[in-house]
Amino acid sequence: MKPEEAAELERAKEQLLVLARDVNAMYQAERARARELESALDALEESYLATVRTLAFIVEAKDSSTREHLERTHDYARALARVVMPDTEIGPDLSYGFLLHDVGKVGIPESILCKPGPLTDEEYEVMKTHPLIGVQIVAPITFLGGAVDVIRCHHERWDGRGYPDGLAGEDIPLGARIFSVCDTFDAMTSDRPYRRALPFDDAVSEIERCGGTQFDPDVVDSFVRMCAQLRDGTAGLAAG
Amino acid sequence: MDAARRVVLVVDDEAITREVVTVMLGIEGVEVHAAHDGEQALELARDVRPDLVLLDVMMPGIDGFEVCRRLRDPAATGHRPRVVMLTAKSDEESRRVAAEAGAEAYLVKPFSAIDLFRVVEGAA
Repeated sequence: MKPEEAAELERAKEQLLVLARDVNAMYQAERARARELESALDALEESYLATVRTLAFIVEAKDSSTREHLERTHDYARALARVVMPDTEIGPDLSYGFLLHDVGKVGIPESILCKPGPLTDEEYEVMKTHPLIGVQIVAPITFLGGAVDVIRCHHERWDGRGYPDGLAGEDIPLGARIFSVCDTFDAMTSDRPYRRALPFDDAVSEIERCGGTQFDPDVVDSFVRMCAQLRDGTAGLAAG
Repeated sequence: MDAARRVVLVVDDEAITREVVTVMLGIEGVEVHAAHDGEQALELARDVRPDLVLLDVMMPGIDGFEVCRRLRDPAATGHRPRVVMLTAKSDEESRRVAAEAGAEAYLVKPFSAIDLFRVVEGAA
């Protein structure tokens, strides 16, 4: 090798070393930034959830049902979603949907919403508009994602006799199928002004009886299994 | 760096510098042209009208300082690109000559990619 070639090679080596150090420094800086962004995203998600909770509680305060019903139903539905979809990461949008399912009730007159006795046919028709009112209310909130399905479809029935769209079977979004089981279950196991709470096992049997008509039979199977584990104390309703 | 079209001309008789600059600035989406001597540099500069010329000093033929003078000649009409010297000569005298020739900055080889990005952004 000629001396000038050797010198050039030496300079190339030095340049390479400097660049390697640069790459390392830039990589470290990027990683630090990625970690920062990740924790910012977590914080953002938490404040989204807090906002959604607040919105949901405002609605429930007007309704006869309670904050506890809302929180319990949300926890049941998250737990059931994990059983039904064991291989899927359950995103926050399902939580948003579970919490906001009745947001459209703000558009229902209190005379109907809080009526102590049974509703007339006309009143019931008004009551049945709440899912679509809810969808309109949340329409500008883009981060809700799949939550809107739960708001729209939580009164649909597996046999197609629900509302507002009369969807049947798997045309009903899975999140809504999961939620309606939990919503009904918690309503049955809670005291209401006009009736006492059903015992846990009776409520589970009632849900089981409605599999294939009101509810998705597969979701009901998962629910029954989950309840058996709860009764045995082999599973908890860990929040999340 | 802004999203506008950025064109850089790198001039060096050693292939490693031309290639390193081409690859590194390619990351930032810069359009890079390369010349291996002063003659070719002046010709390419007329054709591609670079925003910035990265210029080696010691090259066969016209040296980098002279190329810089011609590119930055106040008497010349039309396109006058920014010039940054890219050289192993780090002495004071060379820096002074570079400044007088119209170079706005001076990168010493081996140069850091971070400094390279900085001069392209015009922050040097």
